[in-house]
Parts: sequence; C-alpha cells; structure tokens
Amino acid sequence: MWDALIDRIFAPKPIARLVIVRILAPLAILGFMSHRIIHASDWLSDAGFRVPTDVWDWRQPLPIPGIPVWAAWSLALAFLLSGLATAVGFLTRWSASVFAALAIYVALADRLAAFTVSKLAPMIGIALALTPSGVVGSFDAWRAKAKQLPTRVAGGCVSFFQIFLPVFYCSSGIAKAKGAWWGDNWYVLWTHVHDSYQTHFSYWLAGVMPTWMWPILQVTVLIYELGSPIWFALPWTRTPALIYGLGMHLMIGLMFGPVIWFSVLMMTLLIASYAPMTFLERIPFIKRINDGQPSFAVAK
Amino acid sequence: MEARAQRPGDVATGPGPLWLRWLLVVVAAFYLYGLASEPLHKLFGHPTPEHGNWIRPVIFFTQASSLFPEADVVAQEARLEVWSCTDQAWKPIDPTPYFQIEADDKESRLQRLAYFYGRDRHVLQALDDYIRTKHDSGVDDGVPGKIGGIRFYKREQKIPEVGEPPLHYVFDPFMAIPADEHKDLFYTRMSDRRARCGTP
Repeated sequence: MWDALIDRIFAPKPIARLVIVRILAPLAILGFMSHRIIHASDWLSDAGFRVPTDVWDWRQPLPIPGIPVWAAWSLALAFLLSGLATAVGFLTRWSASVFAALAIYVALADRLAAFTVSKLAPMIGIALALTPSGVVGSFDAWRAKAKQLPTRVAGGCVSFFQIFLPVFYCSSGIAKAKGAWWGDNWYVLWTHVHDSYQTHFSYWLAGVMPTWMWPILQVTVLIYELGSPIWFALPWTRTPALIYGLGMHLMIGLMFGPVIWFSVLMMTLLIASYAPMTFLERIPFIKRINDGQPSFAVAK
Repeated sequence: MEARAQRPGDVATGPGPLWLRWLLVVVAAFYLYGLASEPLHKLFGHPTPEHGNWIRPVIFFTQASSLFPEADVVAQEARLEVWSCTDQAWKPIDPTPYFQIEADDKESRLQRLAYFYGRDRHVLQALDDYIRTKHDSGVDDGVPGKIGGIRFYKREQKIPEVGEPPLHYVFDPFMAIPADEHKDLFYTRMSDRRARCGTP
C-alpha cells in the first residue's frame, strides 16, 4: 500500500496540469492585488497609513516601515510584470521567483491589506519557480523552438497542488466544525450575507431562499470540506467532488464580492489538479501540450 | 488515462540534483503540515502555541484555512468623524481619500484597522495623527477647515433572524445611524482638540 501511495504521488503526470496553474493562478492573484496595485502609495508607502513598527505581535508578524512613494510604485509595477511574465512563461523560473519574493514582501508589509490570497500567493510563486512550469506552453518554449516537448512532469510537481487542496479544505472544515458550523448555529451562512461583502446576488438570494436551505447548504459544505481527502482520493468520487467544489466557489464568488479572486484561484487549482484529462484535452492549447507539440505556431 | 509510453525527454523534472528535489518534497510536507496544524490544535483541544517573533512571519503564511468559522451576530462597519474647529462639533467624513483600497467594503484597510486594533489606543493615536496631517494637506473629505482630532467608531447592526428581510448594505459614510448602533472605539481627548483648534 505504501509503495502504491508513493507511486501515485511521484509517478509522472501530464505537464498540462502544471501549465494551467502557471497561466491562471498568477492572473487570479493579480486580479486580487489589482485594487492594491493601483493604490500602491496608499498600500506600501509612508504616504499611506502605517501601523507603528513597534507593534510586533500576532496581528503584525513582521513590522516593516513604509517605503518612499516612488519605491512603492516601482515595487507594485515589478509585482504586476513578474506575475504577467510568469503567466506567459517568460523567463519563468526568474519571473516566478521575483513574483514569489514580492508576494511575501507585500503580505508582510501591509497586514491590513493581506487576506487568504495574499498568504497563498508566495506558495504558488515558489512552486511555479521550483517546478518546470515554463518548459511548455510558454514564451520560453517558443523561444527554444523545440519540436518535441515533454508531455509529462515529475509527479511531485502536480501532486503538491493535488494534496494541497484536500489539506486546505479539510483544515477549513475542521475550523468550521470546531467553530459554529456543527450544532452551534445552523444559519452561519445566513449571518454572513448582511455586511459589506454583500453583492446584489447575495442580497436577492437572502430574500428569496427558503429558510430550510441554509442548514442544508451549511451541512453539505461541511461534509465536502471535512471529507475532501476521501472525495479526492477515490476515483469514483473525484469528479463529483470537483464539480461540487467548482459550484461552491462559484457561489462564494457571486455572494461575497471581493472574495471572487479567492474563488477564481481555488477553481484554477481544482481544475488543474482534478479535471479529467479527456475533458481538458478539448482545449486545443492543452491538447497540443499533451501531444508534445509546440503550443504556439512558429512563423515560417 | 494519465499513463502513456515513455520516450526520452518526455518527463520534465524540477531544478538541481535528485537530493535537492527530495529536500523540496520535505519542505512541501512541512508547509502542508503547517496549513493543517492550527485547525488540528483546535480539533484536539490544544491551545495554539505562542510563536516567537522570528518564526511568526513563516507561520503567518500557513494560517490561511480558517475561513468564516463563526456566525456573525452583528454586521459591522467602521466609521470616521473629525472634530471641526470651525463648528466645534463632530462631522462624518468620507474615508476614501485616506484609505483608498476597497474603500466601500470590509477589505478596506480602515475596516481591518478596526478589526485588528479597535482597542489599541497607541495605534489609533497614529491614525489620529495620520488623518490630521493628511487633512491639513488639503484632502477633500467633506469637512472644510482645520480639524482637532478624530472619532473612530463602529456601526453594529443586529443580524435579522432567518426568514426576515436581509439587511441591505449601502456604503454611505455620511448616513446618520441610530444611537444604539454606535459603538465608540476611540476619540481624541477634549484637551487635545482644544489645543489643536486654539480654542479656550
């Protein structure tokens, strides 16, 4: 069983899965960061409000003083460009490394503007830098003009994201179950649709949805999250779990305004990790990668 | 469907020698353990350990999975007023020029300030200084003239019972609110306001 598990984790996997993460995850992260990037001086510079640097506790894990306005704008621009370069696969290892380093800096430099996406962004940047995510379907591959490209990648490169998802969901489920979600309050979801995360859709839904639906939604989310290591491990529950996860994140994105970028990021990881290759291959770009052909036409 | 016949160069690998790639596997395992550790502490009833200052930045990036674990009792919104030296009264301001990111929702840095530091007088005095300095530089926040300080408070609206009409959130920093929904977090002392306004 141990050998089977090791083989499952480390056996080569389609490199197209890694390419999907490389293209879409930085774009989702930049979507989340876009409001911050366009207000770079407010975000990172000493022209915006800064929590005093003598405050150093769980609320502010590393006190970093504001930087000059010109430096804040330069850093925000570098962050944007490194994310875009990673997505198109331009000097991928370097651009993803810079992207990860800047993601670490901005998350620590302004705790007030840091959320879940801010905390996941460095992990994704580092993973993309340390895996061969740019060798196909990228500007780097186009420049190399190779005719026959790898179709698979060392299994750990994809397994990391495949394991990350159930670990994340199960941890989230445990936090919810030990919080108010199991037995304490069957209307937790209802209580979260009244504040400034509210969208037109969530306001409408809160007004028309039957009251008995709220506990059903709550329990199914809890079952999905707590059981996710099982749902994603078993072949016959994997695709239903993928579909439920995509639906859940779609609803989160529609109901909690700014959380849309977190949803897009998680949907990206779900599709890249668990969508059947037969489905993904319907996309011509992915099909060419999976066949080992150059993804972009080379001019004659 | 993922297995296929191997040809030379068909499998791309990560950087460096094999031992380095195994080391990265170990690092990844530590990361995943870190991601799960906080909820696991809750599951087994252990208090989450206090971390030293230097490890805290690393731990910070693993504390990402506890999403919406509790029910809200009230819908909260932080608001700002300034002491108008001209009118000798508190006046609501539009916080957008001071906190531009996501100004109209709770991802605003002002809302986060209330969440993290709502009872921290030291940090809120820094907020007082920041608002006054920026206001004096000519920011248009809806209150003309000199100001003597700030009042930082939360609006707390009780969440309706399920089945009742939901609250409809509208961002309007000038909207008057009922007294019972007003929860003071911080205000500049009268003596300081008088000194700054030059009033006896």
